[in-house]
This record gives sequence, C-alpha cells and structure tokens, in this order.
Amino acid sequence: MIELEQVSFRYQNEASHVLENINLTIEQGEWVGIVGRNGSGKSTLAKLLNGLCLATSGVVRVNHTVLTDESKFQIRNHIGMVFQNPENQFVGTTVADDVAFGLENLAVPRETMIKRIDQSLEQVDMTAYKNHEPSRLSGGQKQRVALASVLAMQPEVIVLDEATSMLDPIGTDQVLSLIQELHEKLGVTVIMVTHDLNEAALADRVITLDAGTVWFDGKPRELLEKGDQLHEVGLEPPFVTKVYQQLTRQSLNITQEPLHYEELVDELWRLYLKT
Amino acid sequence: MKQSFILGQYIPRESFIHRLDPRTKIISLILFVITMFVIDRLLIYSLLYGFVLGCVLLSTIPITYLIKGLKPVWWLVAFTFIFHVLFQRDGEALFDVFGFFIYDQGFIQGGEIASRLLLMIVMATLLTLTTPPLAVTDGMRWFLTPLTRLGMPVNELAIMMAISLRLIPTMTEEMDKISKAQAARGLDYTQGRLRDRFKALLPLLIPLFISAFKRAEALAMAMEARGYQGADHRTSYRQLVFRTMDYIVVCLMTTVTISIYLMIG
Repeated sequence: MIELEQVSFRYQNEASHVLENINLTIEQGEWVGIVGRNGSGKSTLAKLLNGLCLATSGVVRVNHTVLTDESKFQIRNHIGMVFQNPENQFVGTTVADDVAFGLENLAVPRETMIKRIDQSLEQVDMTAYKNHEPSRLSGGQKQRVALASVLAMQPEVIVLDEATSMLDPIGTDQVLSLIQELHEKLGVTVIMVTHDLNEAALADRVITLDAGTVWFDGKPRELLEKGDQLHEVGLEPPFVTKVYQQLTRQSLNITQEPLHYEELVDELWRLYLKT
Repeated sequence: MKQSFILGQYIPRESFIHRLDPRTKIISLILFVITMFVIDRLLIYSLLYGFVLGCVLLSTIPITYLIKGLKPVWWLVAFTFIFHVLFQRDGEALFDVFGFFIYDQGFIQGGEIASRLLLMIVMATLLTLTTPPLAVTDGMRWFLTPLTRLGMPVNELAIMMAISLRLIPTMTEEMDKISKAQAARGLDYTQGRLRDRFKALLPLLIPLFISAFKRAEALAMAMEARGYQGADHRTSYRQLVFRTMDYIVVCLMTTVTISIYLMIG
C-alpha cells in the first residue's frame, strides 16, 4: 500500500534533517500509530505520504505509484487527511458545503455528490447538522465533519495528524470510537499521528520516531514493555503501564503487560485471587 | 455582532423576495439603478419611492429595522440635500438667509440626488438582507463567468469570497479573545486621547494578523490535502435555480425600464 524507501526530508534553509533514511511499509487495512515527541518528525512523515511535503531524497510509493510533483494530485484521491485544528480545515460555509468541497475538487457530478454527502454524514452521525454553520459546532463535531469530508472522497487510507489533540475528553472519545468503527466496517487503512500513548495503544502497530529516525516499530504491547526507556524518546508511559511496572518491581508477577484499564483490572483480580 | 449597521447582513425569512434567484435580484437592482439615473421628473420619483416601499413590504422585513439600521445613511442623505440647497446657483432665487440666496433649483436637484442615493442604498440593502451571502457570491460569479475567457480568475475570486465569508465569525471570535487577553494585561483602548487609543489598537491588530496568516497557511494545506488544484475543472454542489417567477420578474422589470426610458425620450 504505502512504501517508504530511504526517505529523508529537510526544510529548505535548515541544515539538519527532519527525517533521515526512513524505511517503512504499511499494508492495506493496517492501523498504524505514529508517536514521538514534538519535533521528532511525525507530522512531517504524515505530510510526506500525500505529497504535502516532497521527500528530499528517497522514494515514497503509494499503490506502487511513485509520489512526485505530478502524481501527488492523483495520490491525494486515495489518502484522506484530518488535521489538528478543527477550525482551520473547515472550508465550507455549512457542514454540507464542507463535505462537498473535496467532491467538487474531484469533479464528481452533482447527483452523486448529494448521495455521497448524505451517506458520509450518516457514517459520522452528523446528518442532523447538515445545514449548520461551523461556528455553531463543538470541536468534536467539527472533527467528525472533517472525517465525513474525507470519507466522502472514499479514500483507502485515512491519515489523522493529531486529530484529537485539541478536543475535550468527550470529543476525543467520540472521534476515536468513530475511527475504530470505520476501520472495522470499511477496512480503511488508518495512520494516526499522536503524542498520546493511550491513543497509540489502539493501533495494531506503533512506529516511534525520535530525532527523525525510527526508534521502534512493532506491537503497542512491545513498545509499552520498554518502560522507562520511553522517557528517553520523550514519551510518558500510560498510567496502566506505570502500575504494571511498579508491581513487577515489587515482584508481584502479572502474566502479560496490560494495554488498557480493562486488562489491568483483569490482571489485578487474577493477582488478588492468587494471593 | 454590531446591530447598528445592517448593509451586508442577511435575515432569513420565507418571503417572495427571499425565494427569488439571486441573479434575478441583481438584474432587478441594476435595472432599477439605470431607471433612476435616466429619469428627471419628480412624479416618476414618487413612483420609484412607491416601488421601493412595495419591495420592502414584500420582503416582510420590518421597516423600523431598516430605518434604524441605515442611520449613518440618513445623515449622508440629509447632508447631500442641504449641501445642494445651499450652494446651487440655478433657477429663481426664492429668499435669502444671512446673505445666502436659496434657489428653487437647489431644492429640486438636491431632492433628486438625495433620493437617488437613498433609494439605491435601500435597494442594495434589501438585496443583501434577503439573500444569503454565499448566494450573492454565486449570482455574481454567474454574471462574471464570460470574463474567464479574458483571463479573469472568476472561480478563484468566488472561492476567495466564500472562504472570507466563512472566516468572518471565526475572526470575530479571535478578535474577542485577543482583546480580552490584552485587557487582562492592562490594555485599555476605550479611554484617553484619540492618538493613544489608536496606539492601543496595535497590540490587538498585530496578534490578529499573525493568527490570520497562520490560519491561512493551515487552511491552504487542508484544502490541498482534499485535492484542491485551482478553481477550474471543479463541479459545484450549490446550484442556482431560475424559476418561472424569476422569468416573470426579470421580464417585468425590463419592460418597465424600457417603457420609462421611451416615455422620457
């Protein structure tokens, strides 16, 4: 689906590379979390995937097409992107207009457009707000509209660039469960850039970037097992992980490292019953 | 939002005028303005007043709202009239005030020009009050489309207009936030001499400009990510529909304009 080969990137005037010699392959239908501290290059990596930034050296391939200045427009039809600030990606004057924007760019005929707008608003449960203006929506609702706008274009990959970082906990939960649902139902590939390990733990695979290189690439559980090493790359281990580590340190052995609260509670009960 | 001046605002209603196609309203406005500049008889002016009053009534927008909302315009109209009365030197002298001779032509021409100004502004306000801003933009774009052949970026202009309209509430909110943040730091731009007040506005405007630029950059990136490659070769979700009523209104307006023109000529 997406292949990166020896990809490096730097902004014109800066001497140092933002990304250096990245090699990655992302398969169709995968859910990949990309984590790292500020300035680790994770957002840049996301922008390299749809040609918002073009690699300084190396090759990016999407569906076996090499991403170049010419092919980027075609590739953008396959990769939808949701950004951090809900306010700064709302192009239309109303919800329906905003969803229409991407379809207008694809020159979709009007009848098809109307159908797709209704369908995608249905998928994100925003049908009731079809004619609302953005100023009357909450941050979470705006991000759901942003997702609808992306879905209407029927992409194979959805890239979320810290899409929940400006939302309140309720908005975050709504957006995350929506992404989970879409991933399961439609089988879209999800690439989620985040600095929150709890969020990244939802993914099938986590890529950790540090100073422009891949520091870790594997299952979320394996990443969390690194424990204190996470601090080295500027990540804060989730509460669940901290509890697990404290318990192991006190030689209270838990069979497997818990990923989220439910697993932790299960393990604690098991521990309780054993002692 | 300031309620004091209403030119450019939109009031949603379900009136006959609201339902007309924006293009019909724009054509009618243009024809009306042409008529107004052609005629020079007071009798026909009274007809025009009647026409404008009729339009206002049809739009179901309260007249008091219009009168209050156009307050600055009243001053301008009154000033125009008085200016003409005092300084017009044609026709018969009627009487003199402190050595100033007042002529009858002053009243006539002052009345004409003030009426033109007034009626034109009321009609233009009525257009924006009864048409959503985006529909006005769509209507304008339709009229300008032939100019694309001459290389005028009409579609780009329409998108720029639409995005500016979309960002007005966002920027207003931003301005509000910044002014509160600066007030918390002790900035006061409501008191003092005029010069000091202007100086105090700078700490409001500079952050606003910076954030506007940042926003523009992010928005441009979001647009690009959604496949925007320039305004041509796009399809359009919004559609203007020219109904029977629109044809009737346009025909009627054209006929009346031409007959008035012929009557005078």
